[in-house]
Amino acid sequence: MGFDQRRMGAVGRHGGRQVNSPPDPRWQAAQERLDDARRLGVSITTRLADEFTRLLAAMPERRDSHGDTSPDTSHNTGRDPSDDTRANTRSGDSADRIRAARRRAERSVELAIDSALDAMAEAIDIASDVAQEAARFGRHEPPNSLCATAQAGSECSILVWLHNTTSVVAPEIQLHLGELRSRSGMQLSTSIEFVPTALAGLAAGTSASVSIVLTIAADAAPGTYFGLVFAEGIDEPPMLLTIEVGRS
Amino acid sequence: MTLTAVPRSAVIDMVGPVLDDIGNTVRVAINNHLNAQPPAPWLDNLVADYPNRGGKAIRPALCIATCRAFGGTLPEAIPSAAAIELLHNAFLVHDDIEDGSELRRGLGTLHATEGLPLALNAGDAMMLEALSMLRANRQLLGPRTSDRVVQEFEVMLRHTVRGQAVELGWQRDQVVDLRPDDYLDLIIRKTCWYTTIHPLRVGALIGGRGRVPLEAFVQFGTYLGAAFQIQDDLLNLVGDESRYGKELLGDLFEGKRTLMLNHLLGEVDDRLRADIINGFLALPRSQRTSADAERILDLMHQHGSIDFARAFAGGIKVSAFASFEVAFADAQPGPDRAFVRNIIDFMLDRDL
Repeated sequence: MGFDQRRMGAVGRHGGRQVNSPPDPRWQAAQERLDDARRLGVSITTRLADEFTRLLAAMPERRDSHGDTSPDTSHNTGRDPSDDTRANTRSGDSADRIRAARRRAERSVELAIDSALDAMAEAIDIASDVAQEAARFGRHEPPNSLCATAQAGSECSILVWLHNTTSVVAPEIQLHLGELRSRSGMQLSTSIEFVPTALAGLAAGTSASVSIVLTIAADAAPGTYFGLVFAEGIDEPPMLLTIEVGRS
Repeated sequence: MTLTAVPRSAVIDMVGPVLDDIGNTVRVAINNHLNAQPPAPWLDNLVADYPNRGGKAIRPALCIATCRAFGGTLPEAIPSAAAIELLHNAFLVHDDIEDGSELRRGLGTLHATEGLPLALNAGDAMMLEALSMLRANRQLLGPRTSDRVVQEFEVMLRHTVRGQAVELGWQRDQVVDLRPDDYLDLIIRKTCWYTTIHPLRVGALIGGRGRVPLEAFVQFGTYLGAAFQIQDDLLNLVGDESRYGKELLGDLFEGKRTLMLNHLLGEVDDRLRADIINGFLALPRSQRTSADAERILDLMHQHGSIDFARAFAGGIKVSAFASFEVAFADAQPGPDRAFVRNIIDFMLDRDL
């Protein structure tokens, strides 16, 4: 969800330049109602999800058709107590005793295989973690990326979403886009506009979007160009913008 | 503070092909399973009808992607993912009967084309075949994990039928004093559990062979499923029928207590509220007119009920991103993890 651009009385376009005007009180009241709705959505859903999680955790363990309790607890004994009960009440029935013994043997094999698999999986996890750490060593995490396509001489719009996942109102946020260059260093000639120019007071738990509007020069060479999008006002790494420019 | 560095259209472009691919794979698995059963006249074609109309395949896709993100493989997840999809289709057959719906995925509903008794029976058979598909898990996953998968199905089915009962009860008994809490509790049971929570948990269970804690998937699946259902309810009111595949305003005709309707009933004055309840909701579906449904939609626009629901879902979506990071903290980075993350945007941006 983002702010509806048509209702943003605080920011308007005039002669191709951004101008600020005092916010419309009705618009502000409407925005506050929507913020309340967002917060309500989060609080109710979180509370209910917690309740359902607790409900699930509190469910009594169920015996399945094989007389086994949940798989994790069967790890502890490797045998099923109901087998003993059944065998005791019908001690004279040798077929039952044989079946019970076979089930215990099957469980023992299962337990041994599971233990071996667990040990192997743990070893693989550790090796994988070590390999990942080694791969990460000495390099930065790749930036988030944005992709767009455009024709020379045309306009393209790229939407960037900002999510305030903190519990406080965000400071004013302004996006910037650095030069767009191809792999060979050629600069893409383009005009850049951000709509809105800045986001002020993004409430906790809410989202808003900013459109990056690029007008590609008519004589721009087709190819792939790269640039970085910076967010001023928040501590976020830049995003990589990749734009494929085709022939007009 | 986080930035989502993916344009809205790009998310749809990324998620769509994966859903199509998994949808095809799961349809093949379902058809193979159905074709392996002895022929049954007046049943086989009906059972295969809805699955072969194609759907979004969100549920099997969540199951498979989560399984792979936690180290599992596609073949290991297929029986469970296909069973989830077939169960979903069984629910749809019965749901269409209960709601008196006319359109499903752009075509006539099964009871409308084949008659109610045969459609009802086909829904039962689809449930049977779905559960039958799980038998393959014993060979693939071993007895412990396959038993746990069956337990997950049992929990999911119980939540779903209970939630459905609540919704039908509200409609039959004209329950109108409902808060957003009541609506959320309902959709967690009747939608979230089988649409998101269950596929995520089963995928993680299979992929992690029981070593992945499943609690966090209730939280994430609740946010994801709630956003999905609210968007579904919104599309029913303000969507594009040619894309949506069901009749627009169908929920109003059925008198569904959606977030928008509950909000409207809480916003209007007593006279108008009584008018909506007695002059529309109290009537049988056959006596509710299109003009009345359009008027209620207009009232929803006027009283901000549509905007309220969008904002409500928007707040949930932000929380979904945060809870995803918790649930998938131990998942392998890669396309499957990225797919599940992108599904969050897709849930609210989709138009079908």
